[in-house]
Amino acid sequence: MYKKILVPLDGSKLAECALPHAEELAKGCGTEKVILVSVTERVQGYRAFEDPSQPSGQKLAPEAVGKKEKQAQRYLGRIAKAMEAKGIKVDTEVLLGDPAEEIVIYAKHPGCDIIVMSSHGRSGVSRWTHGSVADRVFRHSTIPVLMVRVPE
Amino acid sequence: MRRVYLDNAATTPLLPEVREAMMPYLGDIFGNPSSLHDWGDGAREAIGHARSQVAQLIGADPDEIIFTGSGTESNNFAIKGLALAQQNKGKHVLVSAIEHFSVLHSARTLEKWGFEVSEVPVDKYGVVDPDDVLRLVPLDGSDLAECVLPHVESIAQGRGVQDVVFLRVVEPFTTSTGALGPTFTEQDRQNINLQNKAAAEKYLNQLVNHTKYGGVKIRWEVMVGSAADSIAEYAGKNGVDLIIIATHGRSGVSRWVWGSVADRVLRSACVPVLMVRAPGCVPGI
Repeated sequence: MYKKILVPLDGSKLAECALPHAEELAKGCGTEKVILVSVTERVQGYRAFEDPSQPSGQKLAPEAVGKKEKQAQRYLGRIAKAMEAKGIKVDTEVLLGDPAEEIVIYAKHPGCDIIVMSSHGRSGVSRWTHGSVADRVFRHSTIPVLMVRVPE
Repeated sequence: MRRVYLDNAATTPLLPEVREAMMPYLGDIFGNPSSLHDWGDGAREAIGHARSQVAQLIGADPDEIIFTGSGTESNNFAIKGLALAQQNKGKHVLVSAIEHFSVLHSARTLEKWGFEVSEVPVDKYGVVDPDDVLRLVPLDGSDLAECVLPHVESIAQGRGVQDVVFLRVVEPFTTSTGALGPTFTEQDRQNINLQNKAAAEKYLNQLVNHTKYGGVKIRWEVMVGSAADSIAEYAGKNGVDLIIIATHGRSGVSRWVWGSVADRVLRSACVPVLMVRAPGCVPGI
């Protein structure tokens, strides 16, 4: 039922709270692939590129690949390796732009059936963050969202 | 020959008081109440006064009162209006088989406009059997509950799930009281709550009987109280590992609208919440 599971990560331990749940789903629900996504906020020197076959959004232009993106890619690669060791197929993707927006747009890719994410991320446990990225994804996603509460 | 008028359900003769109250508006105060000139002022005041009187009688806001020319016009207006305004919540309309033409024909019109219309039969007393309604509309009549089940099944048949609990929360019945004083006694209210609870139990029982997820145990539970709080409380007390809840998108108009039940469950429950979007929501950010 869940062919592709989308897991947004921002490099924080709090965001990683979603991982065990994503793994558990992936093992039981005929999942082909888990996609780990990290969104890098806009930095000068990066630009959007348009691919008409994909949902509109931003991806890193190949020539603009910079330090921040490499960092995110390395981080996702590390997590992916640990998951692959458990027999789960993993893809990683670094996106550019506003985190909530990019996650919602990416989730429109064909086959993305569920988003598994933590209620809190890099900015820690506070009411404010809950009102931002997780909340906005939760509200705007058209596919099911499994929201994992981080222990407060 | 003496004649007796027995069609008061259709039209009643005018009370002398009513005729008297109306006389000025059939005479001097004839202006268009929506006009800008003096002639309309009197009529505008009279309609505004009447509107607030009717609103007070039934515990509504004056804004919510719309005068029409007849019951037939009102039925047409209400049925088509409600169906069109909420079509992204569902396009299935149920009518009993013995409705007035103003209802049945409005439903037929909706059918031409792409709605699905079902007629619910009645018994010899003209009463609808709730079971017939259940059979026609899967589950509890909301597309919400329906869209959650495939996800429950998928996760339940995955790994490690031992127990599935279908939980339904019945909110206590409350009613506004108008100028006529409370029309429901405490006893009435209790009875209505008991009936709602019994209906919920019956519905969940049927659902559980029709649902099989391999060897997973399925139970049901009905609670009375506020929906979000009860769900969070149940999850906390019973060691629930995951809550699956359906919700409408931003286009929803009922209390399931955003910022409501699903949102509050997410905030008050300490367990993961899988939110499933009901069909017909508005995508985008």
